[in-house]
Amino acid sequence: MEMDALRPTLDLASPWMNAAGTLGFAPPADLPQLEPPGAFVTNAVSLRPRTPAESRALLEYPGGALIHTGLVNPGIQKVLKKYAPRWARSSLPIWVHLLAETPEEIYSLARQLENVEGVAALEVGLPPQAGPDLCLEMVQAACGELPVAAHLALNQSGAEWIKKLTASGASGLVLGAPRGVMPGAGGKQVSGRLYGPGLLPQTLAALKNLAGLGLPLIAGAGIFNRADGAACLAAGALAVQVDTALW
Amino acid sequence: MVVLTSELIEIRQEDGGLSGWLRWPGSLKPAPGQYLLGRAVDLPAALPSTLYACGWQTGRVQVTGLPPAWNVGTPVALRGFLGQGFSLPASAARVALAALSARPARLRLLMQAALARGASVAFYAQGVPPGLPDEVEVLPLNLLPEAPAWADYLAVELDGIQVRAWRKWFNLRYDQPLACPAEAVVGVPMPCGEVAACGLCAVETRSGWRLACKDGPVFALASLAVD
Repeated sequence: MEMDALRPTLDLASPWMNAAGTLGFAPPADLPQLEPPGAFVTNAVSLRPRTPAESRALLEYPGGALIHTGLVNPGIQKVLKKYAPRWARSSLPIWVHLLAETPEEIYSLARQLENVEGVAALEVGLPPQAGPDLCLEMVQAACGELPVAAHLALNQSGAEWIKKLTASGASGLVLGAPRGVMPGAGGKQVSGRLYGPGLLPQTLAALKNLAGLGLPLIAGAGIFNRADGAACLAAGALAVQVDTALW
Repeated sequence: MVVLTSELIEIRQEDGGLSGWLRWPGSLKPAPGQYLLGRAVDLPAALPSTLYACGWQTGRVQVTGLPPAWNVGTPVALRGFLGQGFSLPASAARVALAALSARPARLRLLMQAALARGASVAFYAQGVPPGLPDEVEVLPLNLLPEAPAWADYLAVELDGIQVRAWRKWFNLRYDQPLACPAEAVVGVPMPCGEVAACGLCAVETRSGWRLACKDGPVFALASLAVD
């Protein structure tokens, strides 16, 4: 009860927003969205710059697509220099999606963003290979002045450790694009994130399974029209994130 | 850039895939090399399709790269025209075009622009691309090394995986320049169409990484990084 009183909340004027990685680092001027958004989520931002993955790939399959990019971004310093002025002028609250491998990196990123005008929340991308303890430490490292949403791949949403997220200080949990593997060129296996309307049933199932978590849930996979989003909101999601339907 | 709802009105087999005409009610014309992103309104899909503009008439635009699931009458939501197109010099009187990834349709608008200016056009390709005007000379790809000596301007189409080895088509050493100005339309997946900086379409140039969806898909050929 005491922690709940101290925990910053995810305040949204509208339950709709874009998913990380879909609209760049600042709100675009004229891109149509499914519904007026309540926040803008940035592309993943890391401490150091990241270049495109050598093995970047787009592999389509019936009902979906696997995308692997390497989460290219110019690093926090250049992101702040270029986009912080736009964030300050934005009418939308900015959620910055953090990309890191260690709690120390998350801590550094979070502290650099805490007093940036326009930044309203942090979204912590949890590495797919990270164990439960590391995931919780990364979320805790982000917690401070701003509300923190833990961002988890949908296919990891059944993990037992998620029940400990509420005590970690997180203000919400984003159920994002799941990870998968597809055969690529030459039969080589390619790992990446999955997108497509076929993911909606899994998102709704995850919302149902996590209903007693005690943490606001944000549905961020398989939403491709207003009806999909409405179904997730009716299933108890605080908000929905739309990904490749915006392209 | 325009966002509008269109309709597929004609389909044909071409370039090992499908091309077709879409209604285009706007007055905006594509620059050769530009592309559209399209989604069938009633067919749920994870990603839009990248459609390279390869023809234009008042009220309609021809594109290559149609998904097999689209039929005549399919309503399509379009966004575009996107990207940077070819810059055909006004003075170019001899234009060489080369289809290095066997998709000559991507050069068709450029070819039409060159012919409209009265330029002589030589098209280097594997086989004879369908529907070429009689005045276009078709030559085999193995003669491409001779093209820069003849041409005032050269344009190629190639896929992303061919980019780093483009010099071998011209038998050039690493430090040897092309004898004429040249550009390339690079075929890479561009699902976000400039809005996400997702990096999927990243092309390495001599001055760093560039995004084909926004900085391309047409690049100066000499700017592309090579092995």
